[in-house]
Amino acid sequence: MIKFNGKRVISAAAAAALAASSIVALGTPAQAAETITFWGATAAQGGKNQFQNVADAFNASQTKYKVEFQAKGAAGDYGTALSAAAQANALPDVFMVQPGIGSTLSLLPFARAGQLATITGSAAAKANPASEKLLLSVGKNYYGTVFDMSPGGAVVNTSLLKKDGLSWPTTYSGLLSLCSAAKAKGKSLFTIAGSNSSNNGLMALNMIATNVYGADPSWNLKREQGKVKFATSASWKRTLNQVVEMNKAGCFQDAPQAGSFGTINGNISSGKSYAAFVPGGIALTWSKQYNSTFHVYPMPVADKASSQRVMYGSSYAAVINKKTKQLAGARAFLNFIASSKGQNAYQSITGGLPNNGDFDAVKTPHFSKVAEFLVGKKTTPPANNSFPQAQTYVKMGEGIQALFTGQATVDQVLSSMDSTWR
Amino acid sequence: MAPRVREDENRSEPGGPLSSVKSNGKKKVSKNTGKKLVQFGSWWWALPGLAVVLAVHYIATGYGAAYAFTNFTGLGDFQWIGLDNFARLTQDPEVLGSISNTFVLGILYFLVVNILGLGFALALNRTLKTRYLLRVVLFLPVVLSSLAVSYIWKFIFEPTGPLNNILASLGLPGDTLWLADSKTALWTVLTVMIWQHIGIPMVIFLAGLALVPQELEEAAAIDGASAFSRFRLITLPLIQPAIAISTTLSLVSGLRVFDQVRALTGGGPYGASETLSSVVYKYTFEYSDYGYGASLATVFAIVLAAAAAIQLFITRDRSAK
Repeated sequence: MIKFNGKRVISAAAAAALAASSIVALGTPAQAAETITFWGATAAQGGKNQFQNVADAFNASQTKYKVEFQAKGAAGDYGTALSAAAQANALPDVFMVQPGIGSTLSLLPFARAGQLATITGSAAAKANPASEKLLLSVGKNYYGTVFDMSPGGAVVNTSLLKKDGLSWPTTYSGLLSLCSAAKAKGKSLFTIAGSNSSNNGLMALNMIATNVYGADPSWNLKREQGKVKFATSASWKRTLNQVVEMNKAGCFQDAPQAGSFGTINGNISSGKSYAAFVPGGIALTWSKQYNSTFHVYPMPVADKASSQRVMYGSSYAAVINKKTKQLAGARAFLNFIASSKGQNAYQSITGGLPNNGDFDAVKTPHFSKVAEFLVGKKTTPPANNSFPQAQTYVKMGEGIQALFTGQATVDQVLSSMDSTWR
Repeated sequence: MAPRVREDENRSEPGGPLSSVKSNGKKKVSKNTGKKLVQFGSWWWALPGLAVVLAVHYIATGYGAAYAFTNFTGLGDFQWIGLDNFARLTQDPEVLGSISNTFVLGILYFLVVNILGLGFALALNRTLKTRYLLRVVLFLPVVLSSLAVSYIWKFIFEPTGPLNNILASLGLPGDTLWLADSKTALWTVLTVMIWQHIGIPMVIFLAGLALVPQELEEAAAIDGASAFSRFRLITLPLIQPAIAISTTLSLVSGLRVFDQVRALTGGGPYGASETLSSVVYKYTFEYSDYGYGASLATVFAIVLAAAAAIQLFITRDRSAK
């Protein structure tokens, strides 16, 4: 009679299984993907993060590398997280920055401090638009590749405007007339988050694109050289005086100085206002969300329509930590970001335009009202990307709130901006 | 000097050095009574703790303060620029305004929160049947997050928020921009600070009042002393240690207010509610001006230390030899 020893049988079976699995493993060596850490800001509108979407698309496109994305807070907090990580020598392999200088998450300070690996000569570098070169490079070396190239402007509820028998103007006098017409209908043309310096700043950026940089694209360079000043610049004074004038004409909601992003969402969703200053891609989100048609329109602040310009540039770029141990993988990831697949993954969330600036009437109909400016190259880059200090842009935004509250005059606001230019 | 315990303090404690009692009830007094038995520690026992405090707190603070003499931006190299940052802050209107706001907030918070805290403590000390419930209700906001509380108050202070709606329903002006008006912004911050922290001095004063013998007050009352006289001549002197603790804590916490400013007004409008701690944060983290931020933080630390020292000196126990 044969007796089975249970323990021995189990041991033998386990040994056989181990041997078999070892043979299989030897036959088909499975190499773990190399991990690349990637940081970006938290999605502004909730929903899926655009940077996460790019990382997912990259991971799906190949198996050699695996990008692990971490959202590190909204733009302001993200800048703080980056600074802290840089000081602690704990930057990730790849991270999101803003092109240029003038904020805590700007590319050039990191590049000048020797924190970034160059990507010169790569597909990622070559895909960058020429207009962004100075904001992405130091000397001959490129350090980042852009995620997008999007036009700015006022995001307008075209359906509501049409329903009320109104149309978007092309001159400043037309704008003031539209404000009066909107007021007569019990609405405000704009809702602004006047208590938030960044929203005031975004409105001003759209205005100075025409008033200041349309006429003199090298104004910032002249300011750097001390040839001009904010306080003595007629074009800057014109811009801030227009803000005061627009407020008097009832262009904004009641008490704009107390407005918040909640006020914008509330007034736009309820149809109390026609327009707001938000990133252009949000026009697509709002169109779906509010079952209405929103477009990005140029901010008409010029006396002649032909003088009108549109702000056009990149919001974010990706860079590589110089101390990364995954340089090849990080470069492959940046090349992917610059490719059409990477751009599609990003734009499918943000609703922006890709790095080549191609306007697609089907994919991005919300930019149709500014398309002629892009084609005709009647654009200027976001001015704050070449302000030397983050404080200058903040002072501009805070100063606009002070114009609403009456705490400061146009001259005082401009002088305070001059004091921050170091 | 080594901490010691007085003999009479130990006598009643079971297990104390002098408490061992023979089975016949007679005390067995050790020959070693005195110095060695009552001494429960030596000064060097505190050295590890002191070393940690020194390393983590003082050396780290000193290291951070050294940046006040540089033009460090948070990235890359920096240069030593001497006292330039300190010279700059004396001419910076935003900083000067924030110093003024800091003192206004700190002093008013210190006064109001202590006076109201003492009032609540006296009211809820004895007799009132619901005193335990009311103490909990008044102390509850203290345990909440300052940021969470501030965001709730921000909603209340909105132009179309509950406060303005209530005022309008009462026939009062209901269009005040509490957080966006330079005349009201600072006071809204102060209101929220007081509302949330009134429970802290109340609890400290209640602890002090618990030590005031009821018989003393009753004897004084029988002798014809008025309620105010009893409070002034008996209660106040006896709760003096509680006053010293509460006023010091409230002065320091009033001067270093940050969460409420950040959440309610962001320092605005146009710097109207900016405080020293909020400008330190702004320059250091929002503007990446670490050197200047460090100089502001150094000034801030000196102001806090000086205020606390003055406060402790004024409220020191004068009866102590």
